[in-house]
Amino acid sequence: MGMVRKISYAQAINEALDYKLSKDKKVIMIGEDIGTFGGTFGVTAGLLDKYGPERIYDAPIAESGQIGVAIGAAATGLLRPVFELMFIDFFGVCMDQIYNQAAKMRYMFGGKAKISMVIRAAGGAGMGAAAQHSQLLHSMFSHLPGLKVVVPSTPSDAKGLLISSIEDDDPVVFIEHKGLYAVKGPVPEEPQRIPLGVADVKREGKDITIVATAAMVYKSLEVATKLYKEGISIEVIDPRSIVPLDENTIVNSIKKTGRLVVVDEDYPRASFATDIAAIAASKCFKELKSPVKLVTPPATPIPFSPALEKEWIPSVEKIEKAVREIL
Amino acid sequence: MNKPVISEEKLLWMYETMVKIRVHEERAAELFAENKVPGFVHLYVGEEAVATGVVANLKKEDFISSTHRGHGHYIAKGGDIKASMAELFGKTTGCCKGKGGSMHIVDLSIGELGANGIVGGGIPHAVGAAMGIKLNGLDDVAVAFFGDGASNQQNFHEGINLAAIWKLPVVFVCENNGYQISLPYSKQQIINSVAERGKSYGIPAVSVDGQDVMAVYEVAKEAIERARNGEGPSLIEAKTYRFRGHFEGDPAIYRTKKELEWWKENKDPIIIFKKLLLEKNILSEDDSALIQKKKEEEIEEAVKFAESSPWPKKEDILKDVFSTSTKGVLVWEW
Amino acid sequence: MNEKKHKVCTTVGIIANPESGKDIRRLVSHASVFDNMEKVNIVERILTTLQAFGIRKVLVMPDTFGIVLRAINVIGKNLKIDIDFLPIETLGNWKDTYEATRQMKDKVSAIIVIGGDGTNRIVAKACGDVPIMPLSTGTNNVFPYMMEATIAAEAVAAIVMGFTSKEEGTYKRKRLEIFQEDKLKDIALIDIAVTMHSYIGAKAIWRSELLKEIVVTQCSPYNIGLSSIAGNIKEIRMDENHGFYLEIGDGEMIKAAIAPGVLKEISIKNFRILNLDEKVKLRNIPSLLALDGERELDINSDVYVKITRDGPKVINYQKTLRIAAQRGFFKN
Repeated sequence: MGMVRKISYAQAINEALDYKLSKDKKVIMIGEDIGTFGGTFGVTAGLLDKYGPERIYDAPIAESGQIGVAIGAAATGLLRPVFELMFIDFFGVCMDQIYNQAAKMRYMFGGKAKISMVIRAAGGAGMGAAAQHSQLLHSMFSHLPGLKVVVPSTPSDAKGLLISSIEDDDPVVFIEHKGLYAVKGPVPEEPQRIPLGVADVKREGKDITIVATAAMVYKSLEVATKLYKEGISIEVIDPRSIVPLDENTIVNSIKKTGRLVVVDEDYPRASFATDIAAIAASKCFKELKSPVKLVTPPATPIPFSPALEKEWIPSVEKIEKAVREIL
Repeated sequence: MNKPVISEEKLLWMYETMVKIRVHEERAAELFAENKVPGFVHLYVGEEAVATGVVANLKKEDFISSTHRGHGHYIAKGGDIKASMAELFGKTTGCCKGKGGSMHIVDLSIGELGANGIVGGGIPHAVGAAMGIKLNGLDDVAVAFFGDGASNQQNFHEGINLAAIWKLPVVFVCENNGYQISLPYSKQQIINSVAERGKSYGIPAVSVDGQDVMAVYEVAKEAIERARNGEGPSLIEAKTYRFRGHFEGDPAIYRTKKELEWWKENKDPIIIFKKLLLEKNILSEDDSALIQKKKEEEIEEAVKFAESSPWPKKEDILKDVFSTSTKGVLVWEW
Repeated sequence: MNEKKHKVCTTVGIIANPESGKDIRRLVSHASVFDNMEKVNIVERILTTLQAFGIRKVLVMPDTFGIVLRAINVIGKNLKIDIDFLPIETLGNWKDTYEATRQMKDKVSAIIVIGGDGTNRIVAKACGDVPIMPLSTGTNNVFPYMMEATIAAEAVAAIVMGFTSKEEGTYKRKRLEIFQEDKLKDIALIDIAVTMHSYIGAKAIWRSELLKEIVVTQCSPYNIGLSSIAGNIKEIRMDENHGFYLEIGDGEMIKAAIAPGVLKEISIKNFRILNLDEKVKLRNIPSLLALDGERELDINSDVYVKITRDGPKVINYQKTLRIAAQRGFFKN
């Protein structure tokens, strides 16, 4: 294989959108400031020029209406909408359409409807955006049956998972960590699909398993690299999709290492982190050699001040401490 | 030269449809009272002229989105009443395999996008269907049915606004039956007609007597033709009244018996329409009795079908959550 | 109720129709909704004006929306006028207007009517000799004035307070009477159209191809609606003692604005002047009759129509205020 070029997470997402828009006339986009402005984070730049206002809908601030439109369009089978929720924090103004409509239609209708749509949403802390513009919230969406939930960490995963999500016939909540938009990584030019429900072992190891998502994958890898020098071998698993969940990869790794740290940026209660801990407790109890550690933010809203936000977000130091505690 | 504006065949279809809805709903009320139909049931008795007058202008390919009070829309659009009756019972032969019930009856094959348990929830779905229609260059239209209560919801305002700015082929039909469960319309809005709201979104809006199926038909015809011709959305308020409570079992303490009786005596859409058809010699008393009997038989057949149908099986719980199967755990079960 | 005895009755009646301005014309023509809050605003202007000119009592038709009630609430404690609502159980249809007119006609010196041709037609059935001040709430009316409510209220005050007499300030309008078997069946103020529509439905007329005959009390090339078909052939003023009859069929084509923004080409078979009290037998039966632009009557047997001077007494606001001004109406 030749050299794989490096592009940013944002560009990778743009490439996935561009690819699907070019290949499938049914794919359209709806969202706020996604057209002329190219997206608040620049992710959709150039798509309006290329595909025109009949495919790229710059919408008024009416998220519930926009998602509802996407659902209706998908239910007819006439379109495969990709809706951009500018900040995932805004789910509050449109949640009914997400969880009572999109998520449940197929089931309530006895399998008659296909809601082929993607809700792309920017999440994640670290930008001093305070409590209403910094959440990640994948736990919340994975709590609700009927939604697929994807949280990519690398540019390559973002592209491959987004193509698969758009081609999927179910509603997919695709959460993009805005702290990662500028992160560059190798991304194949060709549209390589990454299936949902397949975790990626970002680093193999034998002493301890870290399950981490989104930006936490990078911090966990940093800890793994650092502790490797001390002879501690950490396996870092990125599930990539929360629903479906590649339980096997996670369970097998825990059984192999006997130790688990879950590192997640979402709130701690009734969360992704506790969910993985529950899996470990119920399926790997015999193999566990020490208590499961969860490294998450505290159960508070996200503070604004950089001095506080820095402490709120799980840090490399906290991850390292958790690992050392159970070794 | 003086070609009739509406054929006798269509008029009779309208009459039969209204009778069919009435018979269906009255039978559903009995079945609910007998505990054969579980859950929440919201009946369309008294509002038959709205669904009928509107749908009389639609073809099979056109879409409608419906409400929790959705049996009338489903029947008018041509939904199979055996499938819907079985659904009301919760049987596996139901249109949702027993997973939806009265509030979620659906038939996508005839453009019925589903009844909806969330007030106003279906409004943007019709807008989305209209977007699909427009982008695919079809000459179909979408109709959103909803009530007066829904016209206070964000989905009403956002849905209409999106349809207006994108000039989509959709017609918004507000069935203003005077009550949002118990709250009278006059206490919900400071205006006296939902039609006044059309102006704020720059679309034509009209208020019509929802008990007069010909008036509804005519207004809907213009609105639907307009949408079909690419002239954009419009809003119809049909002033109507439900002859039964909000749901079956509703003591309806919020309205007087006198008021209800006045509507039943003076504004029963079936009586009004029958009188017109009798006057025009399109229908005779004998025909009417025959239609009534025929519809009762049809509904009875549906009830028998529902009663004799099997219950869904335990393993069906896990089915139909998702369309596309994947690797990993998709439907969790500890 | 403690009603003061005046030498002259200075009570004003108000009838405001909450249902007008929302019909199918919003879809089939370029009319827009006339919202009720605007009607409330009109009544506010009327009440403050009446008060400023010394009117102390107003009698009101209650309506399902509460147009006058809302206006009273807006003006608040600055309102000194005594306002009585007629004891009517509102139904939200034409019967409210009819009953209110019937009940108020002997208790008021003038009635302000806020509505369109249709509302005024109902008022005209019951108002007797009481002068009316018709204010238009729409774009498709011929009978009521399109004017500022403040000025209308001034004219009413001038008449009621006796600055201008009724003889000077009002004139009797014409009306169309419909007879079936020698019985007066209904009336219209401006026009009757015979149409081949098979049902009443949404009432308004916009399919000119179904029209057969039109009879008008008045018509002009500068008015809108069905009467404009006649008006574009010949003008008949409201003070002239005749009307106009025309039949549609093969003949000369006329362009006419039958609804706001709706111009139709209509072929005129024949037409003639119709004298006062001259009976004309309608030729196309069975059919529907549209009265003042709205399908109202389904007819199956012989019908005669005649024009009379028995229409309502309407205030000529220009003349009324001109005379009143000369007599010191506007002086403190």
